Amino acid sequence: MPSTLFYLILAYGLIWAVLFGYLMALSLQVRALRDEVRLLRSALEGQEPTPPA
Amino acid sequence: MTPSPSVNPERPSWSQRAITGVGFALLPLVLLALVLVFHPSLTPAYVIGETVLPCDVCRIFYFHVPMAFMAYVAFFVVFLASILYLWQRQKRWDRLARSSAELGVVFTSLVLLTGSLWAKPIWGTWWTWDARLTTTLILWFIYVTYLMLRAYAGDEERAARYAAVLGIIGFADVPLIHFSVTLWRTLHPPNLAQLGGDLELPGAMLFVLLYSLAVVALLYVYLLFQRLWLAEATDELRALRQSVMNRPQTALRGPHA
Repeated sequence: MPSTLFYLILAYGLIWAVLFGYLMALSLQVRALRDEVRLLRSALEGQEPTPPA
Repeated sequence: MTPSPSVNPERPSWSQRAITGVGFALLPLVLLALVLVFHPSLTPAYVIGETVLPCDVCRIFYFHVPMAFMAYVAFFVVFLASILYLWQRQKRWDRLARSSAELGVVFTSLVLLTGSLWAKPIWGTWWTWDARLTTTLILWFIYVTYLMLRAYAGDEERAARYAAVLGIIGFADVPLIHFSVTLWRTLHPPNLAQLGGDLELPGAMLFVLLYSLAVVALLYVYLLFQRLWLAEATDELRALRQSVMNRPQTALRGPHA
């Protein structure tokens, strides 16, 4: 039944597209975290409180 | 000294690298699973009396069933972690529950979508208000609500508490889904444990099903660790951000101020 193959291929395509999309979303969040770490680090470096004498 | 989070997204730890390694190892395993699933000799068939009708679209079940099983596992992890969070009030249990709930929703969405694609050519409809399908949709709504509660509630502590309660109560739907095919008359095929007689699963097909289950289980573990690591890093960054905000003004102005 060639017509049912369409549903089969669509189902497996969908499974891997959704899982890949989820992984991509995770990696985008990691990238956002990296950017924030960089920002915080640059905010802190050179702005350290001088130790009391 | 500049405070730095113990979970540093810029320098992944050895465990993070190990998880990435598992991700790469998963690739050939997934490819092999797909080769097995599409192998011509492993076409499922309907046996009606003497007639054997091959069913190509039924190959969906090789991933549909393992994903449904892993969704149960994911929500069981939410259930356990939520109990532990309410008991010990440790953030790590909350992170585990939240991460597993997210994966459970991903797997349940895929189960509903692939089930619908399987139903159309076999039942002639995309959806029917069958007991198994309806209880699965309810499960999806419960955990989507759980994630929305986490995303939009202002007070994080309170949201974690409410979500934990929802995570525990929501799990009651899982046994209901599992036994729906025996409790009510449904269109959905019976559970694998109930298979027998004409519905018996041949050895080779059972092997592919179990192999797919192992692949989906590994995928769940891999994604869970990734999600957990991200949640941990986000929490530590939030704490770091707070400590920067709470610094004395003179310190923020720098040594030359």
